[in-house]
Amino acid sequence: MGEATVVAVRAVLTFITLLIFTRLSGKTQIAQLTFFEWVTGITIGSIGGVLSTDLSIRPWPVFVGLAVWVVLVILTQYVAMKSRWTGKMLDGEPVVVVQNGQILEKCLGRIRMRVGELNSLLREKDVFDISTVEVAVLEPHGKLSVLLRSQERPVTPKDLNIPTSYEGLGVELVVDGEVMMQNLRRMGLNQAWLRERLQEQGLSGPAEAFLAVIDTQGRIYVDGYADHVPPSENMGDYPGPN
Amino acid sequence: MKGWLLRFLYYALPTLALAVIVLAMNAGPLLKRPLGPQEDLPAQLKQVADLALSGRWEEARQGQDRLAQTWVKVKGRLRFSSTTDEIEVFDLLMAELQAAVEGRDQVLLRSAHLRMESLWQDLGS
Repeated sequence: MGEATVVAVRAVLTFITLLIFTRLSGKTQIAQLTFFEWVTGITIGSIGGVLSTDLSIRPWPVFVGLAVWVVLVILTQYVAMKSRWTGKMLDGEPVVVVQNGQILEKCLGRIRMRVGELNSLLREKDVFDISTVEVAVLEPHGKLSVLLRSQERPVTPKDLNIPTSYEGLGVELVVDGEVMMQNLRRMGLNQAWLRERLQEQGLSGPAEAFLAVIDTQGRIYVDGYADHVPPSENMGDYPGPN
Repeated sequence: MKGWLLRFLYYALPTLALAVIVLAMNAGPLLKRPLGPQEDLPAQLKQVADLALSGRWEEARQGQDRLAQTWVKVKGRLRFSSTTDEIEVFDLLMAELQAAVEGRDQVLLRSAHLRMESLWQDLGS
């Protein structure tokens, strides 16, 4: 077994290990991570890199290190979930940075945030005038939550006393040409009904549909494999593949 | 039944994968065991040393050749659970042993023998 083969085997094992460990650690989106969790993720990733390619260290001690980091992360999450005080200590607290259009400089200083950064975060929230902000809160995972003054918020159907109906989530009936039988049964529908609906949309059957979704009103959205995009919609500006 | 099976596999597959990975990383002591009398590296090493220390240098040279062939076979199995440095040091000690036998140097041979024995204990464990 040559060095390249050893690295290849280690890479496969590390890949599987990291896949399992990251699933165990629970968080699914980087946006949900606090700074500490983000740093922890980088550390776990770099230990994984060592496990995969550093042949000057035996794999087992590195694997133990990786496992201990993941166990500590899970333990921390568990403790933070069970104890509110520990959760606040580990993750930090949301910090109010703007109140009634006023920037709270002391709070900004406490989290070491520059006013330029605050302005940037506000602009990301489509806020270009700080005086329109009622409250802006910096969340522990680094995102800014903004509540505009009531007179600045968009009008909703409720404000206008317009009745609306429940929309809920759409249910996928066909994905990539394959009928989702479980969803079809759950909706009390059958394949003959689905075929009829697809034929109404100009498709011969599910095999021609890339996606078919039904909403709670019974409306169907169908996207076929055949796309009819006019050449003027082509965004490419060079003759190569787009 | 199918749902139960899928749920079982959902937990069983990662558990099995982790168990296999842990076993693979700790398989060194198992892989060090000789697969036959031709692969008993510690015994062959001791034989070479005994022959050389009793002055039977020609037999020691033949034993050293067999030992080198055995090491090539065993090395492949031990690479995964050992470090590159350990393998390279053992390679160098094999060369040192060969030099000691060819130069009929008992002191150098004793030194190489003891260092190889010591390193063999650690290899893959």
